[in-house]
Amino acid sequence: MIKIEPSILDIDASKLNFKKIEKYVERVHIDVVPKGKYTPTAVKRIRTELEKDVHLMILDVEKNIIPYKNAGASIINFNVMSENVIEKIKKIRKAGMKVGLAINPETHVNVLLPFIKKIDEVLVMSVHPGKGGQRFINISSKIKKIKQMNPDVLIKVDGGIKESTLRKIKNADVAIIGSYIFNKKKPIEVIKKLSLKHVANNVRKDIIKMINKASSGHPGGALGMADVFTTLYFDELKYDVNNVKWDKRDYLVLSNGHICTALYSCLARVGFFSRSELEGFRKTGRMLEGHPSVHIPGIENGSGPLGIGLSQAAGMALGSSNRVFCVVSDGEQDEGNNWEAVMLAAKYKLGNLITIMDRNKIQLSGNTKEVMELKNLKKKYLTFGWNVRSINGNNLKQIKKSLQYKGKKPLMIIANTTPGKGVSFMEGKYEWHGKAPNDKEAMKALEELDESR
Amino acid sequence: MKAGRDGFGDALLALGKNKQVVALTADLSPSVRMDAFKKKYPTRFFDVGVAEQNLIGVASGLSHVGKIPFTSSFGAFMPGMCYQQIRTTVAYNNNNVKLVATHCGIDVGEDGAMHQMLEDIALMRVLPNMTVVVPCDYNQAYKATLAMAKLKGPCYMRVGRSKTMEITSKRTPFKIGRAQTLRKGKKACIIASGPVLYDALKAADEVGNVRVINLHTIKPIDTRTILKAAKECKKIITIEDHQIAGGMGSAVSELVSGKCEVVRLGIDDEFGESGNSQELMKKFGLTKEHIKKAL
Ligand SMILES: [Mg+2]
Repeated sequence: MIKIEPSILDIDASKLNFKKIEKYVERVHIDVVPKGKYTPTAVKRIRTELEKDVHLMILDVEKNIIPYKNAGASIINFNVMSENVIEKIKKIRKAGMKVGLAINPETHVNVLLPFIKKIDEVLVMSVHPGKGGQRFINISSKIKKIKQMNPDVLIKVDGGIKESTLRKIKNADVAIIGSYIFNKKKPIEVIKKLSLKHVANNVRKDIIKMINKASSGHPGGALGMADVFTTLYFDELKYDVNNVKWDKRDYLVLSNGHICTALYSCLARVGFFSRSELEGFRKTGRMLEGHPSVHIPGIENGSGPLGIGLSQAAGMALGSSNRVFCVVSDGEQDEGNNWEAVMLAAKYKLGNLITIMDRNKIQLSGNTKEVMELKNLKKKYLTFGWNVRSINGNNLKQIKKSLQYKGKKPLMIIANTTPGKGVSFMEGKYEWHGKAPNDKEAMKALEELDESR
Repeated sequence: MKAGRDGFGDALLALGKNKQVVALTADLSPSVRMDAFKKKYPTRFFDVGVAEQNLIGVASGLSHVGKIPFTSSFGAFMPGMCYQQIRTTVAYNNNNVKLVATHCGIDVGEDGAMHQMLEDIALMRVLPNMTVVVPCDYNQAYKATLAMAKLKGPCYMRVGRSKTMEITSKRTPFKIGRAQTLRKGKKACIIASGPVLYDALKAADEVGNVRVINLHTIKPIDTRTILKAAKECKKIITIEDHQIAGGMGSAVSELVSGKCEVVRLGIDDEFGESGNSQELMKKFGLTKEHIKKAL
């Protein structure tokens, strides 16, 4: 999965809301140029939990290693064509930082050969270094060759990248993006948009880690719905993490409460509670219950027994004009209670009720087709007086688009998802509805998620 | 004579002045006495159709956005058909929903065993967060309804179908959780819930020196009043139109266990049957004569 790393070129870093940026990315890129603004003092002044990835484009690299270390740098990059490369690498390592070697567009990759096993990262320049706003030079063949030299090295690409060029460097690990983000009116919105896929991947990793650590839980549906929850919490819902009872908020009810790991991960990542809480999932005395509980910040209502959530969501939509989102499963379409709520929502014309069904075609003991055939759900909901949209529930663009709704009828979004999405041995298998991966399986799953492109 | 359900219906209408109060039923508005409210406040009345599970879930959602929902159905259907919904969406979530079950006990009469809910108190009093109220007559049902609206949190109230004797007046004080001692005495103490209280009073008056407690709130139970009776009276007799197992008598026994002899009158592990409610009371052992025998 390619990660986005914003590069704060020559903008005023003090005006950036790093707390917000931290939700989407893990690093910030800082270019240090001769007589530039990012002196060690200036870098130190950037207050953030992000790792500072510093590219020293100055002559006296060696003298500056310790000052930038003291300024909070985690990674130091310098040009592979400079002198005394080995000494510099040693010095950076000794200071406890990671080392990256930068390689310019015109430089042949073979110059990396003597150092490739001694460094952590390669910074592949896709423009000529110096100033922002240049056109992207296609360096995809370089990425391939570096991977062959050392598959463990992290490959970063910097220069001229925009949303449309991302696919050209999809084999790299990190895309460093400056102008495309910060020349926009709302840079954080751009970071968000570029990072959503990565965030969803992180949510999936949380799901695996939580369930593995708890030795119990429900990975199948949660992995399948990671894209829906990511879109909801990072790109759609209105809420205030500092005022969970804010009366203008959108309500969200998760009816099939067993996939709560996807929800918990998002709640933690947007700041309703600390991410360290995720480690306590299903543990005695800890906050995160095996099924959603009303005691958890950001959770509206406890849920778990199937078929009930839509009733609660309908009640909320009936009693307020706020938008109410309800997530249901396909398995729980078996419950009579669900259809009682479906009829009520149509009777009272609850246009503020948007329901998303995880149509993953599995349930606890088998495929939905075998346990209880659901036939044509779209037709059923249309007949019951709802509007229906059918989407690929693992496609972020389709999800976002489907959530835009203003109508007089309740809306059902049938999100066709792959259960276990992102983990090859879980995908499409009902056996992973409620089974925890053991340590070995979890490790394999996390590796796959890391490498997914 | 007036019915407890009319006390509820009249009080609900009075509560309508509060714009947060909403009423829901499952196709039973005439029977559960919601018609007056429905007529006066049509936008705050919701009929969910014959769907008790949905009734509870929707009420829970309404309470979550600040409404004070009263839901009502027959005891056989609520809690009879929606226990999980009550447990999760109301009790566990600690939502401010008021559940009012009418047509409870063998008092239902002719409709027979199917509709004579005899297990509701047992089901409701074991739920954390739930308050359980069983008023003895029209006036008390009226006051209990108003009191429940003021109390924040899940409440269950049980009333019967029939018109029954009036025991309390408009001036009788009522407070959820505070039992009423209506007769003084030390020879024995009768603790009654619901309209059978009338027979308890008559039995006590005829025998003399018998204490009578109206235990209209089964949860939270009035520990002080009951422990005092256990200390001062030779024995306690409980009476209720409900299964002996798990009902009010059980709640009292749990409290005074080992401290006092308790004789429990009620339905003894069987279902009711069709018939005239007065005759059924005799048949199932819930009259003045049965109480006197137990004394
Ligand atoms: Mg499913």
